[in-house]
Amino acid sequence: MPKIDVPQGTLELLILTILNREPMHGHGISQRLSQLTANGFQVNPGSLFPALYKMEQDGKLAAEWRASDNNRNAKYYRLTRTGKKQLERERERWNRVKMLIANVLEGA
Amino acid sequence: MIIFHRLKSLARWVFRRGEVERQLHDELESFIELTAKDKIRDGVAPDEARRLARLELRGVDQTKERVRWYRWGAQLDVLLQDLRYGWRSLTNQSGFTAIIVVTLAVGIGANTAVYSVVDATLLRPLPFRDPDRLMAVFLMEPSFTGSPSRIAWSYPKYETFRNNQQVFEDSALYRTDLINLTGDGEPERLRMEEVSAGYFPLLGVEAQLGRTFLPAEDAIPEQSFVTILSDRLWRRRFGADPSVIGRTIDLDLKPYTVVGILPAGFQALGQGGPADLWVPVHRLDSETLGQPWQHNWSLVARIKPDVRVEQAQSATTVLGRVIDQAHPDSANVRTSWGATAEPLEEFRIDPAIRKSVLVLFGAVSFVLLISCVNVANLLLARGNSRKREIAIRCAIGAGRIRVIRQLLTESLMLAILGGAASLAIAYASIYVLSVVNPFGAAFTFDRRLPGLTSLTLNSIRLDSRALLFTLAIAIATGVVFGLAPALQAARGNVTDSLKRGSDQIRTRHFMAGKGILVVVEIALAFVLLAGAGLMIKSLDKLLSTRIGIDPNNVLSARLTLAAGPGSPQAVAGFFDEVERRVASQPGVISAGLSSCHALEGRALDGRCGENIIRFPDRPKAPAGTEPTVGTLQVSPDYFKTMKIPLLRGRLFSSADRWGAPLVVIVNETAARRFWPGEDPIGKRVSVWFAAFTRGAEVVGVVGDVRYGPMDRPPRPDAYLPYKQAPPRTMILFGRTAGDPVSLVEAVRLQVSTLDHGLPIYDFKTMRQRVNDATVRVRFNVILLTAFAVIAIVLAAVGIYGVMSFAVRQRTNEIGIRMALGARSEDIVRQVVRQASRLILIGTAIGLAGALVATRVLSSALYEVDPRDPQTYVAIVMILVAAALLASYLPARRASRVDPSITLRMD
Repeated sequence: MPKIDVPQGTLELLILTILNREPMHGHGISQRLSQLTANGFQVNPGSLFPALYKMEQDGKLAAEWRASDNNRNAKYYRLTRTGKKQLERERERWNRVKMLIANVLEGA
Repeated sequence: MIIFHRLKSLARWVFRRGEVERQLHDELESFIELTAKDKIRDGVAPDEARRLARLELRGVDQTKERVRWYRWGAQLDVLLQDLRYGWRSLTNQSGFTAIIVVTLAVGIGANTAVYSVVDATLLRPLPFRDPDRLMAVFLMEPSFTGSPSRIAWSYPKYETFRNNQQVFEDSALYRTDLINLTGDGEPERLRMEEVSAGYFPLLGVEAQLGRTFLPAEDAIPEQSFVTILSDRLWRRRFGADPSVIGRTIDLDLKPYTVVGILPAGFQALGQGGPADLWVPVHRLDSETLGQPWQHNWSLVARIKPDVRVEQAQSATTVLGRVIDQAHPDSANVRTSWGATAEPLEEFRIDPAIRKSVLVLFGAVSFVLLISCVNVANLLLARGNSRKREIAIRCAIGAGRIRVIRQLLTESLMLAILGGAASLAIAYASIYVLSVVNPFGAAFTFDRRLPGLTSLTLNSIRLDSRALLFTLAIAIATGVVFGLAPALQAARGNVTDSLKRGSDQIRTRHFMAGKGILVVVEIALAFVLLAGAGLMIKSLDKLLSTRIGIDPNNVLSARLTLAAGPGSPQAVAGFFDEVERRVASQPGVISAGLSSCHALEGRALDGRCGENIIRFPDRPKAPAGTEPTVGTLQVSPDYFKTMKIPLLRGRLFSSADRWGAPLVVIVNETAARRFWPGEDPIGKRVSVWFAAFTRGAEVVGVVGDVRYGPMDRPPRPDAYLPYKQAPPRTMILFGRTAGDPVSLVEAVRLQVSTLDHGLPIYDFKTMRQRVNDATVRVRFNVILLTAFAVIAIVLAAVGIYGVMSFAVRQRTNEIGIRMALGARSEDIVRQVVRQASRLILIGTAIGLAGALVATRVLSSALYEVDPRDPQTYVAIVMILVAAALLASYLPARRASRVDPSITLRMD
């Protein structure tokens, strides 16, 4: 099965969800995403990093440098309180979208 | 909160950019490292793994660029870059920049100045607490002639109103009058406002020192003589001495205790503008306060918070009937009085002034439009000449958005430079305006300029609102008139533009756009010229109007005796002595007295008002249709001093005094209207004024004098010998052989030797008074003319610019034609013909527009039809001449083209 690009507008939601469990660096996020979707989703790092920076600038994420598992310094992102609130909102929104789309598909 | 984070990140970018960039670099490197490690684990060779990892990132630098794009700070960088680049290109073409900046400065500056007038007169909230809840309440007086008119209140009627109403939270009376201040220092005639104690709390005004009136000080007649001073009077007369509180001062010879000083900003609501001091209504005696038919006071009221304006209005109408029943009009036949209430806001400006302000605002926005069109023209022309530069930038990778942004930044910079320069122009204009005070000057010392109008006129200034207005205009101008050229420039095809000579292909299409701009400019200039032309002609008519007096070499000043005892003979005797002494001064040809002077203005009341005239030998006309005459009390020498000609009969003499048979002199208009085809001399009339109600004999007819506004024809007037009905205020006139101003000190001295405590005030030559009467018209004329001149100059510059551009574009073609034998006249004719078409279309549109637009002027015009053909012919000629000249110059240059040079150019 070919990989699908992350649907537009959901990248933030996915990042927030992944970081909600534990702080992680860019590479980790991208790996995690592949893992969770059994390689079904493909996130282009060229869009991942701008998204991370934007979210950091907006105060949804905070970052710190620490040594990674294999002793290399990496930038770890974690959710801030604003980010957590954002996650709740986005999740709710997504659930509604899902439901509505399902309604449409079944109704049609 | 997001904004806070963004600002933090912006600050980091600005101050610690190196670190931010390094971290981004490290992060991406670590990503590659980690990705590569994964791949090595999967069995890929290390070098290959690293290459694949980089590939996955789709370029480290590109990713960095994308990340940066989201950064505010980076956007700032781009902006700075644009600004630097823009600045360089603007300073490189300093002539071009200067023309645009000056054009914009003139357009925006004039607009800002007029806007601050509009803001003060029409927009800014009145400086009172919750001004939108304030209402002006009037009594309605049924009129003799047409619709009922709003009049002031008497105290008993006000009491009825106050005790029966439920819609107003509070209300206060006020009235302005002049009062003599005597005691230490020079006696002065001051403007006082007589108010209810509730006046200040109602308006939300507190004393800066001391207090305002207590309710107890305004409850019992003639008990509390207290006064509050204006900040101005306090500083001027008392040197801002705080110990003046508690001191007594003499007003109309009665001691008043000073209880407070009002803050500097406060200005009275009452007629005539800023008051010097305030006194409570109950300083008056109970008899005056008990007169139901003495309508003296204006009324302001604040509606209760839960009441709507319409509710208050209908409640007031009902109250009007209650008042009518409580105070029946028994003495007079007029019945059905009433009351009405309007938001105070409605009276903020005299309607005539409102109109001229709006006309000026309309005119000045035309000037701005023309400036903008010119700027757009210039920017378009420059955009075209920069096509190659832009094409090169595109070719080396600048995005279209980036180019548009760059060009927009440049035009915004121009607009903001223009806006900044315009502030100087606006500031200067406001300064001149405050010195000339064209609106206020039309109303002389104790003229009835409505208080609110005076207040709004006094608040004209360049404030933050005007600055915002300027900024908004500047930015709007920059965007709107920078966008079109920017889009046009960015649309160009790169390869086309890089090729020389391709411009000509587009010229046709391009010229159509610029042609429209020229047409618009000419049309706008036409409308402005038409307005100015009509006003000039109207002013000319006005200035050549015969006033009926000779205003040259006449000094005038007012004298008012303090209210108090004094028999009519004593009052007359005093004025007689003043006149005699002034007449005997060296250099004085004659002196006279009158209760009013020529061109008193729009509101003639009291001394110069009209009274009913009746004829004993004729049946009485029904009430409401009886004729009236303007009534003036004059001394015998008044006519000689003003050079008013005697047409029949005789003038007054010293024998026409108190106790002698009553006599009247009428003016020509009265003679013609009341005794057509008859000789009025010897006829009996009764004028409803003092003793003259009982009847008097007409002894003379004199020439007409315009006592009202200059543009109103003379009314029928009756002159009474002042000694038979002496007024307390008289105007003294002295005709001099030389400069009348030199008489001022002598007159002042004579009056003060006669009565040390009597102020003589409002010194003016009659020439000045005549000028005052036309100042508003002259001001409108000057401004409209200035705008029209600016408009025509700008339009000419615009046409010149467009035609030069067109000629430059066609140098090649012209060269070829000349090489083929065209003469230079042919070339000139061809270029001018092309311009003429635009000029004719613009003129036609302008003519149509002007015919519609100048209709708003019709009420401001005096004896000039807004469609006056003479004016329009003159304007067409001026405009066409200017436009043809502006297109002839580039045409002539084109005709001097040397074919051998132009053909070699490409």
